[in-house]
Amino acid sequence: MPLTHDDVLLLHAYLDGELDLATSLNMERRIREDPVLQRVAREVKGLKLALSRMHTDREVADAFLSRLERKLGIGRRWSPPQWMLLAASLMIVAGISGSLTSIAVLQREPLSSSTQLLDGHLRSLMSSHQTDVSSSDRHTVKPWFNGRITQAPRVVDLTDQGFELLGARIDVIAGTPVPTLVYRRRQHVISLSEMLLDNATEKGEIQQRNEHGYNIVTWTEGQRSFVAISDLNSTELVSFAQSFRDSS
Amino acid sequence: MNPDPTARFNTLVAPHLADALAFARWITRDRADAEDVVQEACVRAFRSIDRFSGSNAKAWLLTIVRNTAFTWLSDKRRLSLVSLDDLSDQERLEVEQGEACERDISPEATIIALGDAALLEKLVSELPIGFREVLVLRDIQGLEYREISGVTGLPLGTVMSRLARARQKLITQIRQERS
Repeated sequence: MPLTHDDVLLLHAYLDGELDLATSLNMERRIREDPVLQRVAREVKGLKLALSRMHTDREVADAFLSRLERKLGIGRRWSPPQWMLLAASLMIVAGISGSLTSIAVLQREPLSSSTQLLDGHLRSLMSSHQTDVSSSDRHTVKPWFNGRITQAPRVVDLTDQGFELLGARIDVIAGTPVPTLVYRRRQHVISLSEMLLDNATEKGEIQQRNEHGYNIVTWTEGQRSFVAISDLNSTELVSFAQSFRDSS
Repeated sequence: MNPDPTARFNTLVAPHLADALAFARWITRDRADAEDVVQEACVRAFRSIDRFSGSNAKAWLLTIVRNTAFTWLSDKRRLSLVSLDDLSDQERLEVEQGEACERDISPEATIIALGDAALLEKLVSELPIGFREVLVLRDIQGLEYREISGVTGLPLGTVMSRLARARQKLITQIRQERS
């Protein structure tokens, strides 16, 4: 049966994750059954993947920034003050020696810390490097946390799902060092932080919300709470969270 | 939200500058022009920053960049290069059905086989601007359909049909390159 104009639009919307569940399931079934739809779907998927992997220059030239700041009459662009960096490294020491009070505060309210995680994400976007250790190899990233924090965070390779591991850093939330993995989808950076909870929980549903234009998804798993922050659209960020959660 | 415009600029605009520049480069197809457009857009954004109350700062900034770029293009009379025929949304998508198996291609495999990601970049930059902006906003900037509709001011249906046609054009051209 020849494809109609609407079929094609629906197919693209399906591949973009823009359909509601019922329409999406229906489209999935039709793709399975219709060889023409199948071929077009494969081509469009391949194209989307090629486009997402295309290198896009992410650099904001210093000369341009200075020119812009002069033009707008604003001060030097924001960078983390030295004391903050120092505080971060001191906190890492405090974390290892066991800062029980701050850990208790953190554990009671894992979600309120997302504002601080968002700050960490923004800071990393504005500085020249987003990670303290840069590697796409989880066997390099995981050992890097040894001796820096007490927990052993989970590091997952999601390259096949289209999320490239860039590296990791340590954010400090309520005085506690928190391991943060940094992934990338196209040019969107995703910060994924893992926090320890008081009590073990079941694998929780993925929750999402938006703060200051950034999408935030959270879920819990055993004694861990995960928070992913990105300017990536919410559909893809949730699919990132699902891939990460289901990889265990 | 901090009432200080400088602080707000640092929270709302600065984190999206790289995206703004990349988007402007795709529209103007020139690095220096893109910087001029983004600078002008930032001046406009800075002026109206107190009025921004939404939650999606990136889409807000890209909207201003897009409008600035289009003004800039029409000032330079470069918009006349766009063929109006290309933008007819009435045109139906045609899907080739003959020789499906033989001519089946995976664009990604083809791009890799050709060892030429530059080809894809060239093909995207040669798309008519009405298609290019929608494709770039979706497949490179990762916006959702309704955000693209907001940034471009196009109805949702037009966004969908332009996106599908832009991709179809690219796939057809990649297929031609290969044969």
